[in-house]
Amino acid sequence: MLTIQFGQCGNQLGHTIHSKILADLTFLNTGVQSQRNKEYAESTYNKWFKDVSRNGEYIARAILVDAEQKVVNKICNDADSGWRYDMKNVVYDAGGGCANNWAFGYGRKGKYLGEKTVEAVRHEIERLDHFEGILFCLSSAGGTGSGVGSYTAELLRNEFPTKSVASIVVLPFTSGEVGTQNYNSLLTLSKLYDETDAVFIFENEQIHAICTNLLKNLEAKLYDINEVISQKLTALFQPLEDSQINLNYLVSRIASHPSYKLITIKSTPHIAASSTVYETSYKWETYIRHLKQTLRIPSYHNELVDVETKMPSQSFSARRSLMYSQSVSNLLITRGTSVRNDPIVGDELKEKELYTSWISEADQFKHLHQTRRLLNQEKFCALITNNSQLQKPLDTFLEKAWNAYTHSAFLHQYKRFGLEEDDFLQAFAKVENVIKSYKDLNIANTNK
Amino acid sequence: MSQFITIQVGQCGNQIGAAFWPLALHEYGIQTSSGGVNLLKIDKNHMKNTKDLADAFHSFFHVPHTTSDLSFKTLADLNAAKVKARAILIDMEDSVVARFKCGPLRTLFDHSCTVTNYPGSGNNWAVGHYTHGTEYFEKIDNTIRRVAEKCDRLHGFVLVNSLGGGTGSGLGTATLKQLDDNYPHVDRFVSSVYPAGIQDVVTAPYNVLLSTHELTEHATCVFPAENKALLEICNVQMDKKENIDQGKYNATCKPFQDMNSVIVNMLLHVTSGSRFPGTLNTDMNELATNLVPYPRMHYIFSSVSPVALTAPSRSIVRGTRTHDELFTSAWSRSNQLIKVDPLRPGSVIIGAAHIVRGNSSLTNIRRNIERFQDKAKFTSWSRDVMKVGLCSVPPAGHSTSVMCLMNSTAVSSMLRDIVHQFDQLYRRKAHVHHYLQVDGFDKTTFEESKESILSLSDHYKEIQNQQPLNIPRMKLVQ
Repeated sequence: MLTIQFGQCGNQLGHTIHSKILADLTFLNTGVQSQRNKEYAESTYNKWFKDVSRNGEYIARAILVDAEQKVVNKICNDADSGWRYDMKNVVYDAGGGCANNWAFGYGRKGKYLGEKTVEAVRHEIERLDHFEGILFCLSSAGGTGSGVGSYTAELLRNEFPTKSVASIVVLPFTSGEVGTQNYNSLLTLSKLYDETDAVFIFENEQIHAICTNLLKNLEAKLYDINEVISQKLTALFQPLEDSQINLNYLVSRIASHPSYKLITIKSTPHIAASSTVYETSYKWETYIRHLKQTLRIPSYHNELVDVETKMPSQSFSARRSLMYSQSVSNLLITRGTSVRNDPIVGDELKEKELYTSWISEADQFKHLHQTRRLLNQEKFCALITNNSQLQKPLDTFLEKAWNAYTHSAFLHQYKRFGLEEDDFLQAFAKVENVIKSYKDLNIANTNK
Repeated sequence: MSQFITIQVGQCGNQIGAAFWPLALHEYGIQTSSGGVNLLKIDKNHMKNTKDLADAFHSFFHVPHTTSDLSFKTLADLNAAKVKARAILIDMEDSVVARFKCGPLRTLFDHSCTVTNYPGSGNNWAVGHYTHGTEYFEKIDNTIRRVAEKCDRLHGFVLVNSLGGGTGSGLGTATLKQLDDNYPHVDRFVSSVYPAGIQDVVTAPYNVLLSTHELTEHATCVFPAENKALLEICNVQMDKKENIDQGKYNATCKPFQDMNSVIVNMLLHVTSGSRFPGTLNTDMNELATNLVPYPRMHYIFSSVSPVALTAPSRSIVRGTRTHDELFTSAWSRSNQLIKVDPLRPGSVIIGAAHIVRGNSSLTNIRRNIERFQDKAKFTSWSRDVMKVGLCSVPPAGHSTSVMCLMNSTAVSSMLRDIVHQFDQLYRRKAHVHHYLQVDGFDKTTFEESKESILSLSDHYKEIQNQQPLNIPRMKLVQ
């Protein structure tokens, strides 16, 4: 796996992911025999790290891209125990970032940074006999991650048409992080949807809610948000027992239809570090039901409740009247020990009511397991889902972007870098299409 | 780290510069005896940031490549390392610049970076803009190029001037145009002092009108300040008991230095995101993207809280409440650098940025952004036009500070006032002949400038009264 981190958010997130992965290997209480733990560690190192330096530090297989230096300098200097980046793989430009402007990143900085990045990618691929795929890390709000990321995605698709590329896109707070975030998100998604094979979506707002509600962190910082996202990603990408889960497998499993490429990860339990000791552990069944509930469609009189930000509870009703937003496909990953009186049964997630009718049963659902504990958590479940819920955040920012666009606000800043109204309209059409495809899943269901 | 070239034009511009450099050094932890900055108390934790401070030293200063250690402590260290300020000093009378040449910071300034003349521009915009603008065109051009060539990461020009006189306004805007022509891709930030109210120059209304027109055309962002507002901020600072040191500092200040320090504090905050790292880093060019929704509408309200430069004598209990107070005071009209309330009834916000320096959590900031969104009025599309920046290095005197930048339609009242002042004088054709006899100045320039400002003001008002358009979203054909 080759990670490419774009812009401030992407670089900070990428850094947290790598740290998290190594942290996972340091826990002694793994729940498995040392031989198996060794294989687990081995496989992890091979996946994310390319080398060991002379003084024993692991060197990440990652490329850092930013339009300015401050952030990459900071994370390269942040001496994290045991690993570091390869300074040859740092691609940056001097003198100011991308001005929170997608067009600036795509049209101006992209040319230079994109080509440099492709060169670095080629270099990395050449040294491997088995190449899994590329993982993009970026936020859609700013200018560098969104613009340079989009441009690089195009270059890579041309250069390596057969390699799998998945992108991790962090959506900004809807109440605003950057004035032009709605345009930038729109343009980014419209490009990445075409140029990458799967788009993982994480919403800052929702993750922030996990931090405050579940982790009881009332002073949550960006770092804490990245921690949660990283935990979700490690739950997906760390080695599994029965099959090597690689990017190709993942893409074909979960994003097999070209119109349905959005993926998110629901996970449970998220427990505050301070209360791990006191927290009673539930049965697997409870956690799996919790994950299923996260796919519920909130009923009308019920305020929008995001089940993922609530504690799992045994009393989740299994009423039949509940509606679930339709999935294209789901992948359940469980990590931890299963004993006889507490079996892991994914059957609840196989139920027909969860899936759209045109997908075959065999492709709808898959359960994978790893007995080794993840990050010292007794049990951890993640549901990798390609689900119609994801149209909602897209719909929200598209609405806002459209409103700003009809008032031609901020357009002159994009035109300065060669983006025409037509480009905007195409991006709108593209994302409207995505939203519609996902919405139609639910409509088809109500008509069933 | 991004680099900035400061261009100080005219008497006022150079006086701001005189306040700027000691305070900039102060922020980097270099104590000077000049200008009384040694009276300002430094927050006890400030020196924790030594590394970030040293890394950002290049932003305002040129250090010859032979020096790799940037942890300077005293002025003597700077001299030994041959450190020069990235500054260009332009004045058409020698007095203020001359003070630089013999002041304690004299070695910081390269003599080839000063452009002076005698006598001045006679409070006449046309003389500054055309006569001196033409005569010194090449000299200024060369000076800028020389300083720019010493930058490897030039990010922006910061031009400081006043608009009431002749040199700052006339030659200042001529220089600005030069920058626009020669460096179109480098941002041009202008901090201008508007004389508003205090009319110490008879022809000020002309000069203000003519230069405002130029600022509208050629600046990336303008941060206006008014003397009256600055004075009030100073008075409030002096009254506070916890800021005794600030009072002492102000008492030692040369005329206007205390007021100019308020502007300097603003400039240090505006550039902080480009100089120092942060978890939600804000480069200065991002500000323009976020704050300017339509071309030409780049007059930005600015305020910093806490206002005082010194660390408070009583330690303040940190908590949610004080955090909210910081934000509240940043929004208050009494902290604005101009005497217009950006949040006054009827006006709408068309872009806002909050830059938090120092320690703060996202939860805190989110809560305050929501408070702001409840407090202010917006157009149908601007509610989410909120930029949030987090800079890890706080100002020298505090552990946390907030800077609020707003683009508000309230600025139209300042623009209309400019035209009103102009009309009063122009109706009687007073002093017009001084302008007409200047080579290159055409009578129509008055009318054109007035039209330009009026149309800008109308544009603001139009947005203020804009009805939501509600054009339905794209329908997809099955």
